[in-house]
Amino acid sequence: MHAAYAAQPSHPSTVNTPLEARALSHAFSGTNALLDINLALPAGSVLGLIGRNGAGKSTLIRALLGLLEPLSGQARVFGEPALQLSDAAKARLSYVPQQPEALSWLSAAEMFEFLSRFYPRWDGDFAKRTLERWGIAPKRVMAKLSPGERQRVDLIRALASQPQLLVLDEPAAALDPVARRELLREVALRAGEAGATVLFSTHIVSDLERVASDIAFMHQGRLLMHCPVDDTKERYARLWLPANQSAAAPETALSHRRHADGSLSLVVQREGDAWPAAASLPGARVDALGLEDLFVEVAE
Amino acid sequence: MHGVTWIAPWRGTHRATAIIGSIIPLLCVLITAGLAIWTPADKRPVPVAIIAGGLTFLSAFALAPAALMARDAARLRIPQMARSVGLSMAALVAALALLAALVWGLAGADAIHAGVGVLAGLAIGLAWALLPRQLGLLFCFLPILISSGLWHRLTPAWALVHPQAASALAVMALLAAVTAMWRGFVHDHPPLRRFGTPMVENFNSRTPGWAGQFDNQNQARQLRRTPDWLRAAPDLRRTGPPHAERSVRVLLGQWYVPMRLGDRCKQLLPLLGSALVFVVVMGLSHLHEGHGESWTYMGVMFVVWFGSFVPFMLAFSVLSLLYGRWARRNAERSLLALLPGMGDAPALKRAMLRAALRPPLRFLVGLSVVPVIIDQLTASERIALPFILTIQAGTALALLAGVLTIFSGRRVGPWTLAVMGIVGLGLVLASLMMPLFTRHMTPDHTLLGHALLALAWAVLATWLAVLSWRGWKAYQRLPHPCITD
Repeated sequence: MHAAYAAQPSHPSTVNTPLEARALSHAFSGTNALLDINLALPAGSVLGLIGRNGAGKSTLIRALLGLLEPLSGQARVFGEPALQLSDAAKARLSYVPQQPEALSWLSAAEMFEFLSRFYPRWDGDFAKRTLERWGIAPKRVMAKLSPGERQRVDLIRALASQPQLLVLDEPAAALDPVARRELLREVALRAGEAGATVLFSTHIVSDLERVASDIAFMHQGRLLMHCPVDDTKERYARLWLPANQSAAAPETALSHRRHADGSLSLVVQREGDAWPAAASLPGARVDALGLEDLFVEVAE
Repeated sequence: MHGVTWIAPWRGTHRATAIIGSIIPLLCVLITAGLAIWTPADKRPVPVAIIAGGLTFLSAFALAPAALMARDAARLRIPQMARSVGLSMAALVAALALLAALVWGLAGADAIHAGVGVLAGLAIGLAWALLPRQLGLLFCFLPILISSGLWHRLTPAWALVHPQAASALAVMALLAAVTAMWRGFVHDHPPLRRFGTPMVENFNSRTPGWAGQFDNQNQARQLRRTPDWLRAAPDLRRTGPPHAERSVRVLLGQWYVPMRLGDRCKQLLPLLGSALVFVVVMGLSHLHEGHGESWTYMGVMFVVWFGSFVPFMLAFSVLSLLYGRWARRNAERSLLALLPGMGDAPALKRAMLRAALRPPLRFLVGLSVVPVIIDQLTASERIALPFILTIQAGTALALLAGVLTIFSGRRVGPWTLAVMGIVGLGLVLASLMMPLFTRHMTPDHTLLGHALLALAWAVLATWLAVLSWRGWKAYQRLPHPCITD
């Protein structure tokens, strides 16, 4: 049965890229939700997608997986157009939406029994063991579970299919700190040992630092930055310019904030090996930024 | 009382629900006026009963939801507002009864009879909405019970001698009960809590209007309240990639989920229970009367019930279920879109259509056999078999149009849906009542009535066919059938 999931011929340049967006744009009721997003996830990477509420993270994820037809641009999954995924590609990916609600009339055991028929690499033992470990009654109808338990069931569902691409939309939103830590450990394990590629969106910066290899920052439908997590401190900084130098602010800055005294705070990016020229102006100051500070500076 | 409080019930109800709940009594007024003009005075059906029946809808769907507003006010510790809503409700009920009494009085008819009748209609609607839903179902059988011989058997002799005084007393008792239920509900102490939640809770929904009855919030609430022993378990045999249609049914949920017979019976228990009440009531009625006529009457009632209202409710519940299911982005649609083994987009589209349409259409075909058999057994002249079958064909077409519209993601405005629902319900009622209307008409008038009804059905069918065609074209254009935005 499962052997029938034959892979479709894929575009040669993208066959090793599990997930890719090319010039994706979308709008809801005239409001831009995605603006010309270009993004590629190399195999084995763990990308943390971060941004404020309404930044477009969920929309981007949905467009990447072909759940939404973008106004322009294209998304590809394992080299296939996301809107026309083959069974073979679907069998290799798992997606956990924000606040999962599906199949609430089934028990966790019934849902796993049902879904196991579709996934060739379904790990029933893992599902059973993890349910037990997380203290979730397998025969309880899912509508009766708490939001946190419901989210954990969906995470087990996603992991039990042993995906090569795991996409998680705010997976830790309803989890307590212990469960969150376990989830991150599991994600790191999947990526490290099984070589799975992971995309997850979050508000929680510490989660990103703990598990992500790369970070993508979304703001108002735009992808403002995409780089390895370890590079953020070296690549981005806060540039403070006194009021009399503020006219020299570089236009490429990721954020501008003017203070009451006329001075200016900017988030700037290295140009090659050097900071922008304005950093060397008299009175200018460059401050290193932690990930959380960077997020707040850009998002404010 | 502040002027604004008069409209509190209207403001406290979702607009679509309130409008539909208000249009039905208006239709009843028009029917009454039509009967007054077209039929001889001595052969008119009781017009107060028609008006009261319409007002039952008004109080159940447009007035009773104000109880939710009053309860919210009480919970937010704004007792003055909760009182105002209650007072405005009482004032509206009294005003409607007085108005009816005045109109009937001016027309030279029995004003007290009209006032009591209207009060009864309003009280029944409120009671239905404020009673636990299982008990509320019993009210659906009230008209049958009243018109059966059993009612006379249960009524005390003095009440038969003084029917007006007895009716007034009964209505006062019902109003007192409604007041107690209202107060209990508003202050979170419903007197009949152990029998379940009041029907009016169903209107407290994120998805507005009629479809809100079946939205996820309500379904989840119902699932949470169902004890484990009463839960109907799914039958997951023959699901998986080789059985795409059956697998889609698991994902559609509720009535669609494949089940073994015992579990299906458990799932249908509330409906079967109400049908059993119907059978018991009619059986007792038959025993009382002790002649063959009541069997015929029972047959007619079965035909009316299974041939018309059941298909109408079937279409309503199926389309509401699918509408609610398709309105959710993070649920079954996403799962289905990424589920391997379901084939390419055209195959999945076909499987989804088959899964959504086949079970209700099969049920409809089964239902259409019932009236034919009963018609043969009872040989009743009161059964308008062609009209019943027309209702079922119309229901099938409405299902097709609705499913294609929902699956294609086409947006149909709430007004279009409301007009379609009202026209559909109006045609169902008109088809059922046609034999009654035409019984005393001349052949020419009868023919004209039939022709007009057929024309109305043809217009509705054309509309539904156009909707189906547009839905089909839009569905075909989708890159895959589970696009969620």
